[in-house]
Amino acid sequence: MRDLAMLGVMCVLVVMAIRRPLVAYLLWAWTAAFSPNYYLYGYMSSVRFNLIFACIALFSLLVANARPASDFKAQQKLLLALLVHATLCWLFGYSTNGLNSVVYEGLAKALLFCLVMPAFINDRQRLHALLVALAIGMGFHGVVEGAKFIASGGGHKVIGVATAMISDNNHFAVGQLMIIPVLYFLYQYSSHRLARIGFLCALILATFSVMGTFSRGGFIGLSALGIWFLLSSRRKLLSLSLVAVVALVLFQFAPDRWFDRIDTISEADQDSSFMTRVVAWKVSTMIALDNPVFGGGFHAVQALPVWSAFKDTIGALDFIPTPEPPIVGRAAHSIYFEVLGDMGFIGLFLFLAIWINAWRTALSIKRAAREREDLTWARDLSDMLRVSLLAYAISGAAVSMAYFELFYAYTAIIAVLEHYVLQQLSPARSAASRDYGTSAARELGAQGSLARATGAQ
Amino acid sequence: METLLFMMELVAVLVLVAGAAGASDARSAGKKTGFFSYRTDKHDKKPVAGKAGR
Repeated sequence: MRDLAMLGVMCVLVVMAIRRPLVAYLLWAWTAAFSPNYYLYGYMSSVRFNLIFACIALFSLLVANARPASDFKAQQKLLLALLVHATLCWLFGYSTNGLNSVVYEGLAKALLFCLVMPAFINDRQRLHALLVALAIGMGFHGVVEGAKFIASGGGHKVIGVATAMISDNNHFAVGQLMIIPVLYFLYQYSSHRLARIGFLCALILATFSVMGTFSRGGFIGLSALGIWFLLSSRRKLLSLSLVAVVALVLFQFAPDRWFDRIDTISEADQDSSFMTRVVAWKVSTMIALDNPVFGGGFHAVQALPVWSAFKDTIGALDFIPTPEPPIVGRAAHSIYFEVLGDMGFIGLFLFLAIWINAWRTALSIKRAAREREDLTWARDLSDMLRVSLLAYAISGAAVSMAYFELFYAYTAIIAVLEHYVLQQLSPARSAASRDYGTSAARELGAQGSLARATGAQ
Repeated sequence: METLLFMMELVAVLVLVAGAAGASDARSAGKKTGFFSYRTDKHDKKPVAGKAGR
């Protein structure tokens, strides 16, 4: 039945995407966050929805003959640099690594999505629509799993979405932690009352779903998110009430085994699961020391021949005591060590620069929008995106999610938001610049539809 | 329950793209369209130059 419904909806969506490039772009975002294949079991489960909408969106850019933005912002330059470096790392990676191409494809797709964002998203309505697309896509998993967790009285354990980046419980927790602040923003700034209620319910269920993962990293991220949320929120009383209610309900609802699991955080150095991660960090570091510029290629640490070659060299890092390395290769289990092992020190530098630049840009948006009441929403959005970046930096420290699409999408959204705020603050300057993708967006808008554009040729 | 939520998700995305289709037209760029549009509060209105002096 789901396949039939999806087929019907796809017929409509594809036509709309062909007629409107913005729709194609939004559906590209939605399918990346939602991964519909996970919920389909029949003939539609093997359809590459994401690829279809990505191709339509990119083709519409070509047909519209949109000029590339000449006034690239620092964030776009960094993302482009990462894409170039990642391509070189993929080419020079260990040939015995079977995951190299698969992981590179995912990262390249995510970076391409971010690089063309200014061509599609150039005003508040479009930005809002993009946030909704990401929220209903990623938030859906939180709603489903959160509802199951509540319905089972805390017995349901979330295992993740196998067809997406959030494929295990820890990854799932990070994904939900990153979407919760956006859900809160949409709750605050949606016009329709029903939409606001929907986003609030999704936020609560997503919070429950993080608990349902029994992830210690997820719990630390959730705590950090709550604290930062209180500190940065403009409506402190509302935020305090919300966090207090959610925390009380969560702790009342949590089963004993959840508390047992969280208790083990203080005994990390005796925990075999955690210490195996430290071994993987050491192996990733050794791969990077051996290949400081291009690293070992994507997820090289998981390839048995690469792991076997480096596992016995970790003695050089004996100042941190760890058990004997396992025979089988392990995932890097940290966004930082993952990038270090895969793309060397240059890759790690670019990755950190993207995070830091996004954080600083969001801060500057907050400062710039302070004096203008009509830009309060931009200030709140920059705050919420910073909370998401913080959750990613903290919870991601123990999971292999360095190539998570949502992280790169948020950094590009921050760059687009900065451009919009600057445009609003100095209209004369923005009229003179006419760059950063707005020309492309205008052309896409002026053409109206891909169908008309192709018909005109 | 999962199937019901899945159907609701499909409806939500149809509503989103229907609204976005209106916004993608250059003539209506910036206008609010659809169920998922943003809220405009009183303080969201852009200050008008010279208004304070009247």
